[in-house]
Amino acid sequence: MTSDLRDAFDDLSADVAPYVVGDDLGRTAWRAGRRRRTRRLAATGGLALAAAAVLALIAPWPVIPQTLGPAGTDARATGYPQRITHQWWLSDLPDRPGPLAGLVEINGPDTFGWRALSQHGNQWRLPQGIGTGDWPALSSDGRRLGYLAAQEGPYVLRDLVEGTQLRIPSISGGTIGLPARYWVGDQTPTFWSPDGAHLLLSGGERTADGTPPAGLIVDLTGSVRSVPGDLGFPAGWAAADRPVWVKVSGADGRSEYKVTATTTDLTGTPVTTVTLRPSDAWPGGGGLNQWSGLASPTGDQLLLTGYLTGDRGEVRRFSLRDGTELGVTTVDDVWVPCGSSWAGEVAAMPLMLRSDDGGTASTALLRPDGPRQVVAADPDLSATCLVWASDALAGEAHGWPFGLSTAWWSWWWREILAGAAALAMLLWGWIRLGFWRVPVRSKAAPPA
Amino acid sequence: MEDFEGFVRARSTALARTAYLLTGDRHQAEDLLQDTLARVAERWTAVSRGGDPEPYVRRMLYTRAIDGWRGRQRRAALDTTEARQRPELRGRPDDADTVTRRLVLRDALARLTQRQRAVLVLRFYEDLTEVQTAEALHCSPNTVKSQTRHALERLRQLAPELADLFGPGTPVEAR
Repeated sequence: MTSDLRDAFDDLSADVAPYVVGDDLGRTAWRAGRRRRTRRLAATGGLALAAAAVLALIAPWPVIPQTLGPAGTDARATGYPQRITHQWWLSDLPDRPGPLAGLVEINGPDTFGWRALSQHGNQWRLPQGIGTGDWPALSSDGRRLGYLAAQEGPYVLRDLVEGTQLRIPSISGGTIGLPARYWVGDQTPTFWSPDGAHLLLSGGERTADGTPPAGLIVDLTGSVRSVPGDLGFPAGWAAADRPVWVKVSGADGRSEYKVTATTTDLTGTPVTTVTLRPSDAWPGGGGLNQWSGLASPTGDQLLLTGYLTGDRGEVRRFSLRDGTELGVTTVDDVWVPCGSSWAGEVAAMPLMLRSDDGGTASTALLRPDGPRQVVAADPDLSATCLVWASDALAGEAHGWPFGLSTAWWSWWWREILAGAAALAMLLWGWIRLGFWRVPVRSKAAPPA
Repeated sequence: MEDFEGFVRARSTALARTAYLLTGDRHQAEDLLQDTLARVAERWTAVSRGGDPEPYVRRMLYTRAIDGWRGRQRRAALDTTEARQRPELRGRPDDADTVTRRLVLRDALARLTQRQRAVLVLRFYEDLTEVQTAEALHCSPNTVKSQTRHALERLRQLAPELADLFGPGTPVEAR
């Protein structure tokens, strides 16, 4: 049967070939193949470019340090990231990253520590030892950074534009028994002077006379001055050489509850002292602590945050000239103090938004029309505190493309795109290369 | 390019016959062959580097015939061609019975599905085994077996006068 059917097929197709094989078939097919090849290469190139673009969205910043060229002395942060998102690859803060927008504290189960934030949201690891406990200090222009390298010291001052670094071995953490002459306190805010020439820290000198310390003033030459006396907590600067201190007294009910703001010179000698006078009574208990006070960039106002029950913060503005209250704002989601800041003339409050995993940090600007959240952090990042350079927060918000959206996919859109691109490429490859899988042997051999 | 043109010159007639049997129409066969050869030309360097290119070309011919190509639907209307466009009626001074049998087979094949026709061509014209046919058509040997059986049954219904070619009891499964 089979040979009969084969003969029938043979007979049926015998005279067809000359009609099927056109003139110059080889040359025509070759040209068509060339055109197909050109189109395929163009499509492949386009696909590769698209994939590269998607990958570039995911991993450009970790591998390309955003260093500045030789910078002028007026280099300062001009914007801030609206979205603090997870980042797959982290490197240490380079020598010259340029002015930073801020710092973020991470307290996740697998990763923790401080990270520096660029104006577009790139993150670098702050090269600190584990458990230093200090609060890194970022100047208002984002250019200068101070932090404790390890619990044993040294304290490091860095110029992020020029790439210079000053290590001060005489400052260590507050652990008893360390040999360094000065110590800096854990969990306390830090303040650069408006001109970036001095850094005000909570801490003191390890002396035997028991004099209560108020703070340390460090300058850019590395000299450290301990400010003794019962001045209270450091609260910023009223001028380039005028640190401000806030003292709370009489909290036990037996004496009058009183809050004073003292402006001193660099040696700690008081220049002015005003008693802060709220328009109504101080709330019960006050809720004031070392995080509460912050002088304004202009030096004529003091922000005082009271941490109330129910995750609320009460932010009062006082005049540093006479202590009168200038206004009060109540802010929700203030239950983890980490230091307020300014965005120009507008106060900025750190928030801790409740989430399934506990909380995630954010920041609200206290505008005249009410508090307004300006930053969103990826809940998976476990960010617990945001510290901002004032100039950055007063500048442009960089939040493309999702702004303040907190939808899960808005945190993972780059991975989703990359996965879709990878799937498309796999599918494309499977379709294109499928022909090559199984070789077929044919009985028909070309003539010798 | 010279290699490719030489290959086409040497093998185009044999390939054209297979293409015609796979499609049942000379215009579609012409399209199929051109499309297949253009795809081969696109990768000619890699194809020719592996030795004899014909197995690859034939495999692509089968796959294109099954999966379809651009001109299939466009050419469908040309099935009712005039006699001068039907080369199976020309060229040889055959007797009327031979011509009739040829036309009956051609029309019966045209009423099979693409896959059934391809299975018959590969099994009985190309002389491939069931396994080779299954590999060429991206299906299982059992599928080839059942498709062959169904195709032959269909031909018996469509062309009982050609029972000597594929009549009942033919042991096609035995191959």
